[in-house]
Amino acid sequence: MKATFPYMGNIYIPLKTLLKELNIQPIIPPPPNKETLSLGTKYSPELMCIPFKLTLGNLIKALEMGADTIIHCSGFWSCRYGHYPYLHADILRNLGYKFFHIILKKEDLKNVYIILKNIFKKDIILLEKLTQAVLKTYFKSTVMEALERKAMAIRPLEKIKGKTTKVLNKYLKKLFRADNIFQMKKIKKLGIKALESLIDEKKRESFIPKIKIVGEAFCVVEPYVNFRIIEKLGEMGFYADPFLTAHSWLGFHSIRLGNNLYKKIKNLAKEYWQYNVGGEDMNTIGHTLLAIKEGYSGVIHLHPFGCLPQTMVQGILEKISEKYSIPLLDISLDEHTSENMIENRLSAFCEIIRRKI
Amino acid sequence: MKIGIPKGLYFYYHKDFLLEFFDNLKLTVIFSSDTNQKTIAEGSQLTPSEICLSMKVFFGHIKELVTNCDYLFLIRLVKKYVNKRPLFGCPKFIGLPDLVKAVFNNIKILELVIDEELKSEEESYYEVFKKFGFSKKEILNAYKKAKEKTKEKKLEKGDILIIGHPYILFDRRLSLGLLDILKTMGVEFITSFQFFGKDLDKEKEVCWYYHRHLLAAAYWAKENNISGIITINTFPCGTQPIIDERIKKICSNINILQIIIDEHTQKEGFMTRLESFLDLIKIKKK
Repeated sequence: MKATFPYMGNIYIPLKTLLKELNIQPIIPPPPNKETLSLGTKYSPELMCIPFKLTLGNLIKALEMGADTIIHCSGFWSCRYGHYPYLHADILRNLGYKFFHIILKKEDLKNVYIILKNIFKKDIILLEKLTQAVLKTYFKSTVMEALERKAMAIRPLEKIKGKTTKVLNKYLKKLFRADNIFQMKKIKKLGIKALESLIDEKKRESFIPKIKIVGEAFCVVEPYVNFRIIEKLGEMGFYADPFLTAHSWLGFHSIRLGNNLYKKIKNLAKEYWQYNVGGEDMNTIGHTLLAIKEGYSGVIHLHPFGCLPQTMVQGILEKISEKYSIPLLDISLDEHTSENMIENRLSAFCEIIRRKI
Repeated sequence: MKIGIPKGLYFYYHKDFLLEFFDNLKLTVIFSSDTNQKTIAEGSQLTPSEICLSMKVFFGHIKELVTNCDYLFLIRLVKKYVNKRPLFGCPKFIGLPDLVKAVFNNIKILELVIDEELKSEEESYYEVFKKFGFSKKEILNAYKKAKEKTKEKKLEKGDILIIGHPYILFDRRLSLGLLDILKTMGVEFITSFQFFGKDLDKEKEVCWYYHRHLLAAAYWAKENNISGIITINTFPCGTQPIIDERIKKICSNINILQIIIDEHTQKEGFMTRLESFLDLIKIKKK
């Protein structure tokens, strides 16, 4: 079985281990680029959001690379994300691709168990393999998180511009190839050491303004869509703190990692937003309020054009920013968004924050 | 005491029922006027720019009502069980009362939350209207009476099916008078609204309460060999691409005209497309 999954940010690093441990060959498409985007845009309905288009392009690429199984997660809820697996499958089948479709859904996890049992035949072996795979994946994901978070903190302090990103990418590549826990531990130790050596001692004492990044999950996590906004802000001398990373996304949606934080967020956001609809709407409002409490200097709201919950949230964030007088930059992303536009808006926004401080 | 109901969105779905219900309870209700250019302009000013046109218009209606009424009546449909299948409202509908509260300060809202995981629809009505001094029996009676009176709907027959939400179809400004134009042209048509309330078992994927009747209409069109379908939507409707894709899949051999309307849509271009579509159908029939 050669399996692929919708591509989003760095989630492929831990997921590769998960699939490999379960005797499934992972097919990882090349990172999103112009070609995948135009492929996705060509075949999807016009008003779909950019995550749909980009993942469709990546799935096509992966199928061309020889994948025969697509693993999607889905569910029955109000956001249209719940329909994406079916729509993706429809479009791909119309294009003539043949594949086996696995949909991970709370309601029928039984089917997935049956598929896995076909690989290992015996329950005991499967359970053993499954626990091992989950543990390894979890550990790999935490290492990835530690490296990414470290890089975010170090970027505004670095000696040579752009060096942190280079070092981070080098170690993430090593991590991607690592298969046992011993190797991962070593990479974590070496990676953090290498990142820390990049700090410019003169800047260590200086004040670094913090910016919270909120919005829709895909737009926050996938650097191709948001034009590497976290790196850009870091290199401009700001500490950019996304409310969601690949690790926390995977953790929350599989084993409810960070559920306590979510409960806190829900309580905070209750005044402005009462029902969680999907598309990280509750998190967006709650984390904005939390950022205000924690003394952040600004908030950036990233969302795809036409996202159902986030367009409603947009109006509420405007009111919150007015009430607490915190600078808010609202960026709506689609396939026509240009990098120059984002850069201009970012530098204007950073100027506002600098003057405010 | 006056209760204001904005003429937009769910008002068109539950119009008959709501009128009957408020009449049974002897509460005075006022409506906003029909959608006009002013409503659109005011609504667009109040709302985020990326929200759909129907929502913008809804805010324009609320602005008109705010000064005249004591309470604003809003429905928030979160979850409803139909034939044991959980159905949801459109995400924008669920968030709507929150946005109204954020945009208009100091506004008294009668917010009807239908979340059948917590309590049934009748009890939600009781929860909202008990503060006016009605007993539970009175409210439940009014609810039942209104439901029974609005239950029956006759199926009409026609040659062209128009699929769209009633808040676009029956709003003369938003639909650019589509229904009136077709009437004057002498075209026999039916609208998808008459399928509202009929559940279908065939459809398993789409789980939006207000959208299932659109697909029911599409299935009906396939069975009855209708000669053309017109779908009409406002820009940028988030659910439209999914529903339209389903309709295209269901009615793969029927001609479909897709119309999407925004603030700047002109009647001339709209007429040209409509006329050529009708001509196409005529030629195909011959």
